[in-house]
Amino acid sequence: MVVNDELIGESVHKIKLSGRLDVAGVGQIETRFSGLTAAPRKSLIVDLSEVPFLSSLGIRLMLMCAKSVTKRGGRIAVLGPDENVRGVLVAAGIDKLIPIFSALNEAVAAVS
Amino acid sequence: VVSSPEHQAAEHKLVIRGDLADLSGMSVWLASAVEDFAVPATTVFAFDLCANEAVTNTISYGYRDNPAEHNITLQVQREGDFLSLTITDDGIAFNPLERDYRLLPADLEAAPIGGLGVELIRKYMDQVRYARVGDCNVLTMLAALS
Repeated sequence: MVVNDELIGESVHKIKLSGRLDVAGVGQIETRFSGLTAAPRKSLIVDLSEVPFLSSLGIRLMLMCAKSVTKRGGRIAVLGPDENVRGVLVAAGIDKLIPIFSALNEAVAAVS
Repeated sequence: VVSSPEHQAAEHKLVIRGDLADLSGMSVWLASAVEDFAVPATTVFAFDLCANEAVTNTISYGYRDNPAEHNITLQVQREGDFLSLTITDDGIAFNPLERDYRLLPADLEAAPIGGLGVELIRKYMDQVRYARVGDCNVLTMLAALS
């Protein structure tokens, strides 16, 4: 599991996760991811384009992160999940809490 | 992993310890076992997801003593027009079909522990059966082959 972070403009933080968000994957990134999402940036884009698998543990991680971002007045979006991962997000109703985008510019516009 | 996947490949059966560290190996074995039935990639994903949810729940909440001292058995087989995955464990009796969680998005954070996993299993599988056989939970999840 790899975590890459990037600053877009002055207030949008993009975090790209690569690897399976299963028990092992979530365990590996939980602390680092929570630390990054607590950083003093207003908004967050979570890039899931290189995540081939997402379970309920990954969903809980996303929810914790969304809560932390919205609590300080920021916005959050998910970018580029593949069909399987998007399916899990929709099945869990996450798409109603965190908007999902295919294109980076749309995600940036949504959280800016 | 108690038994090597190669050893039991012919009968599509795997025994793991009740240890979350065994889940990665389980997923690798399961993908290979399910692919033997020439199903689409979405079906492989569905079984991977549902097995992860069910086994994680069992290991996390299903035992009164050390889970790693227990075995969990997985078996993939064809049942008519369906492919089935049967998961057998000797944990506390737990029937995931007994409760209807019907989660709303706003409730997700407050969802009962393990509840989201059960909800996903119901959504991804075409049929789910549960039986308490002796001291074991036997959970069978089926997805249509076509």
